[in-house]
Amino acid sequence: MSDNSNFHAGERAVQESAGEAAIADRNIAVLTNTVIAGARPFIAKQFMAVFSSVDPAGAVWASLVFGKPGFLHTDTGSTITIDVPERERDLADPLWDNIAKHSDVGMLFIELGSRRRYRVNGSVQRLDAHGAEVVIAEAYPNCPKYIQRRQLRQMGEPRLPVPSAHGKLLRGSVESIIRNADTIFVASRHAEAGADASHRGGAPGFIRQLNETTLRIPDYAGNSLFNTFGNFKIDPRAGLCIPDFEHGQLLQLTGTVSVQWDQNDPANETGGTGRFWEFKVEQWILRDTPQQLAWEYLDASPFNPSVQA
Amino acid sequence: MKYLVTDIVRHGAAVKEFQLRRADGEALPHWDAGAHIVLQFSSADGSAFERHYSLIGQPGQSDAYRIAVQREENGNGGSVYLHEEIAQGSEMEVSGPFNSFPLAASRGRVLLIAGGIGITPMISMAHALSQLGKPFELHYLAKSEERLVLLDELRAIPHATVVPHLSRTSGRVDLAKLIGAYNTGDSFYACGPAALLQGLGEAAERQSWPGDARHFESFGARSQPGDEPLTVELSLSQMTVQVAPGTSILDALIAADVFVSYDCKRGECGNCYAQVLEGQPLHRDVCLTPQMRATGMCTCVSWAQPGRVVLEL
Repeated sequence: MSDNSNFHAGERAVQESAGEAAIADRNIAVLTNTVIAGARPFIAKQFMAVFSSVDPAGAVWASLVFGKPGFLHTDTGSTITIDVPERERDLADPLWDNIAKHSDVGMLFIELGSRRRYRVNGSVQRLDAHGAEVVIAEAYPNCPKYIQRRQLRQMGEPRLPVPSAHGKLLRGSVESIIRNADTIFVASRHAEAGADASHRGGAPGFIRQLNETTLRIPDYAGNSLFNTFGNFKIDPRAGLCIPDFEHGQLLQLTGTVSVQWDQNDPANETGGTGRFWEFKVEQWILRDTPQQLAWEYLDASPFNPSVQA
Repeated sequence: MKYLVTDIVRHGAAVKEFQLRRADGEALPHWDAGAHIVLQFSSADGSAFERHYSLIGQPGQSDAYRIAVQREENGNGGSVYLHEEIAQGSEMEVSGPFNSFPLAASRGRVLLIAGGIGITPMISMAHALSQLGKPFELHYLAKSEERLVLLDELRAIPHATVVPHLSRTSGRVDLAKLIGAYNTGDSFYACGPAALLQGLGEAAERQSWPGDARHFESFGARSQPGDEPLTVELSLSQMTVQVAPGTSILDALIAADVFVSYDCKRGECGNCYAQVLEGQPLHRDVCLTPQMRATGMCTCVSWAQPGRVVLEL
């Protein structure tokens, strides 16, 4: 049972290092190449999606895109349509230029209010003035763990351009967004298998900033598939998108990751896995969301390991 | 893949060991401690069964797989069929080995805890730990002496400390005392009936054992006599699903095309965790903390007080 064509070599190697290859074989049963019937209405009512994309230099980016419910839809289950007309795209987000040049895209449809998420990987087959269409390669539901519940109470009309800032060092407001984050999105990619977008959550403070260019993040127990870590094994480039729900901002960072196994973890920051990943930042963008968003925080995931001050 | 039953060994009144080899005579794949195989068979009345059995014995390369099957008179017939209809030379459809109960590297104490026939995966774990030169304690809980099957095989494993606990003579075990306080690096592996595993989960919770230090493999039906049909309402999908005892809430939701996530379907991973808005859950998982249970439930194994339960799905 050691070869399974659902996984690339990087994913397999990481599953084996974690001793979870057999669990991955069991859990991959939920993977399909079309969106399952139950998830189609779920996608159609989302107002937000996470995207992973790759820029011409090979840097990987994670993005959050908002729209009125219905702006994302899949009719046949084999493609997903993203109705974001040209005038509503924030061109300060590398996503739009990236998918024009490189078709690999990872998507995560995540409903923070109900802790449900659905992951889809594929490639952009159409990008025009009306929107984009993605042909699905892989689709599967993810578990509700580590998701903090939030409801969107109000969304304004998009107004562009919005203020954006760029940098390389993690200081000031960038530093405080990281310190307060309880919800982040991670983009990764594999040259043949495509791009992945995934979620990581924890209690505020779960991301530690080691210095002006490095973050250290505990890796909690997950679905054992290790799609993201598997990609890092082959290509360490990664993108993070960290929403600041309170101030309506998105912090997008790109850089490289190193995964650390069997770390000494006296405060049990990893919830027992002993795994951390360090993210070395090369570049960041901080920008306002095009739509004004009013979020209500409901509660933290009861699965979050505790974070010591 | 087709396998042949090459030998059958009795262990006491209720347990039979079956030895299986590939029908084509080819070598068996290597297997690791905690692994299981899946048997598929149909009884004379046409009922189809799919059963998971832990491999017993020394992990690695072997000529034959060994499984131990306890006859469950009140089960749904799978074990009775194996006990009565399967003989030397019978053919069986087998897949695997799979492993959802692997032994992880550990720096601290290792406890193996078995309830009844839950001893089966512990045998390969005991062999593996012994080979690593890692000291461990194996606590073997059973009703009475004659239910301690495979004890001689366990006692023959070098460095093994086997501690039997017999409820008929010494009453119920104090599980909190059995696992003791948690120290960094400690871990336990437990296999047995759901009630034992739940008790261990609660004892571990009280003594601050982190989730990843507890490893469970459960078996046996979670539905209980007295379970009544449920009306499950889904607040977000705006659907109502009727669930009859014997079907899990999760399986009923999947059949109704509800968008749900899940992995183990055995109350061990928490991936089907759903927020409960109304109703009184009867928790039968082995993974949730009291805090998690206060607001939600595992739909794969848990049930609810008669009537209505509203899930935020």
